Amino acid sequence: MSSTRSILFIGAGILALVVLSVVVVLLVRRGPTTFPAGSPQAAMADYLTAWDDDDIEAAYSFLSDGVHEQVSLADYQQAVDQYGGYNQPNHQVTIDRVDGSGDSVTLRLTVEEFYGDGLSANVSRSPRSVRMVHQPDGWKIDEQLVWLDPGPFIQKGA
Amino acid sequence: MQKARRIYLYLLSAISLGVLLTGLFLLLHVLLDALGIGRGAPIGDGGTDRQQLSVALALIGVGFPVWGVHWWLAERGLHPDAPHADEERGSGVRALYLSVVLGAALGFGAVAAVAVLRHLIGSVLGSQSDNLSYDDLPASISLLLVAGAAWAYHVAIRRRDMAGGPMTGAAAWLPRLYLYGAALITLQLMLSAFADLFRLLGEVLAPAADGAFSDAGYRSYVAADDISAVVVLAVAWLGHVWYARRLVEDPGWRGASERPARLRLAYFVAVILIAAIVVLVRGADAMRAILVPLFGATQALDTNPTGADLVREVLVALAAGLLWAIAWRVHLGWMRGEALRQDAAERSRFAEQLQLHLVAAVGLGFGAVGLAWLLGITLDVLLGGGRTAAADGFWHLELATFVPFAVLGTAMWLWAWSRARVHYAAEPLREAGSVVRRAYLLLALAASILTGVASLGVVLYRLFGTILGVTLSGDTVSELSTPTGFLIVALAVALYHGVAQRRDAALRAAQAEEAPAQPDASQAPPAGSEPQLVGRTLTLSGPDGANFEAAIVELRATLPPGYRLEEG
Repeated sequence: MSSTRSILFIGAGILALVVLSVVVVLLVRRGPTTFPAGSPQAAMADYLTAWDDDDIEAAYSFLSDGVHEQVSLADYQQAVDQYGGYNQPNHQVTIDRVDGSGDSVTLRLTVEEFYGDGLSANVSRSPRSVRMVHQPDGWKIDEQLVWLDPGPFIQKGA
Repeated sequence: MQKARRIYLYLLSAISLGVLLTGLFLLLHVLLDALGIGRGAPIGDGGTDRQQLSVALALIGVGFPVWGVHWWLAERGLHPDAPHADEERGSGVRALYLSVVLGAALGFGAVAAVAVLRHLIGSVLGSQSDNLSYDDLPASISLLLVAGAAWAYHVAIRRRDMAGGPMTGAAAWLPRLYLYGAALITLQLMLSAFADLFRLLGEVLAPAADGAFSDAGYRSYVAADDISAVVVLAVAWLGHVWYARRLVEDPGWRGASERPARLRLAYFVAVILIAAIVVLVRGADAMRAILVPLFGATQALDTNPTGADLVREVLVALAAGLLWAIAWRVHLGWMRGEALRQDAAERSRFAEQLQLHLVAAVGLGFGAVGLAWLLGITLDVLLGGGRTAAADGFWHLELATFVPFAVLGTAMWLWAWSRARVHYAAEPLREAGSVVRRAYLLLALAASILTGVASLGVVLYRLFGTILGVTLSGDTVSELSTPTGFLIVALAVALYHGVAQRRDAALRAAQAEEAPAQPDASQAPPAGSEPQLVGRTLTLSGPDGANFEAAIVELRATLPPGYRLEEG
């Protein structure tokens, strides 16, 4: 095969891959997952939706009773005001798996964050583990989280 | 002018190829992400796919046209109708470009292949470790595909270039450097991964009380990591070694060029050198594991090893050392075999000298350091130094550490040196003239003199300081015992090798004096010198733009034994 033809073949292959990727990303890509109602995954999805909607009170309601004993809504709101700004459009959270069973599980998540601009833009992926407990009113997050990061709370009575 | 143009073309090709491959990697990553391959269940719709796709398309849009045009121009120069096609094909710049691309693609591809395989094996082993979450499977698959394609394409280009006829100079040795460099690095990493696997096996069979592998999830992650590294690196090493062997056995110019290649010999020598060091260090590790409790050094280490701990440490160290010993044996066999096939005497003699003196140097280095340290401790004990009287018992640990180096290093040196001496006794003149022996003796002499000078400096500083009333910290005996030990051993090593060096020099001088007195051509040539040759001067002609280098290589490959073709 001549060098000209081989370069043209490579170009054609790249073009086909580009077209396929654009089509898949724009048309075929998976939308948000629908989790079974009452599952820990669904509770996590609702918690993050509350964050996307800037509904801090609703987000606070997804924290467990144990966390509520340590952090009041006012403290939570203060922490959000101080360290908030998490509901950016360039975040994507995926649930990789659920470890444990019964009334206590750990969700293994991956947080994707697109940062930078132009050709220097990049995506960072970092894992998160979130402990959840089942209470009479459903699955709750059993950690002091602001969005998915550990909250900078001072313990009550400290 | 042609060279400047060539540098420009290949530099731009390399840079734009990097941009293009980065774009393709991102594109494949987005595609796999969008298809949900290796990705968890997404929450919400705030995906980053479109942003990533934009970046990927931009990189490809910039990278492909620039690479395509420059690579096409570079390739056009190789067209049979091109005026300097052979020169272009055999240019060092092109060889450098191909070697760099092959090396980088192999490195990235191997890393990605290990990650993909680790994920697959980890899934089978049911690993639940948090560490598995850090593996970005779509990224690893994308990188593997892109790096693999780039590597395969450039291998095909290189093979096509080689099919065009003989290559010499940088066009031959730069890709050869890649070939043997890749073989050496993959072999070393593979055997390191094997050692890690042995460590894991040891911990599984005889768990340590505070071992790092008590968590089952982490254990299976490490197992998956080690196994995948061993598999990928074994494939890479075997592939490169197999290809190199095929080149050697080629009946044409490729074989004629590869067989005497210094880089191939350097590869064997490097493996033997590394193997000798690792075998000695691993053997010392095993011995130290036994000596630590024997010498009562557990207090200094703040450990209390059980019998199972001891057996595990010894077996793990010996198993890792055994693998390198096998690698040593195999490569030594290959080196000897090839040397014998090429030249019944000279090359195999050179190979044997090289490996014996190399191993002797490694043994001497470790043995001398071990002996010097032990001598220092002995002096400290004899002269009542504070170091060996201290309650912490740290010197017991020093003993357990340096006794193995002294014993094994000296044993290795004696083994290799005694065999070298057998050769010397058989043909003293030839051996005395050998470059390898001279290099070994001078190296030993230089290292021991430098060590002796440094040790003497420490001793004199302490002496003058005491005379001049300088306040010096530490116990005088303990501060001086180790430098004195090194000084004594360095003197002994320098003396022994200096005497040998002088004896060799005397032999060479006597030989030089005798040579003019024995002009009889029927006699065998003196050791270490070139045999007497007669010759005729010929003129090599060719068409305009002829590749004389290639023609000379081909002519040399067809010469009968004992004949040479030299350029005037």
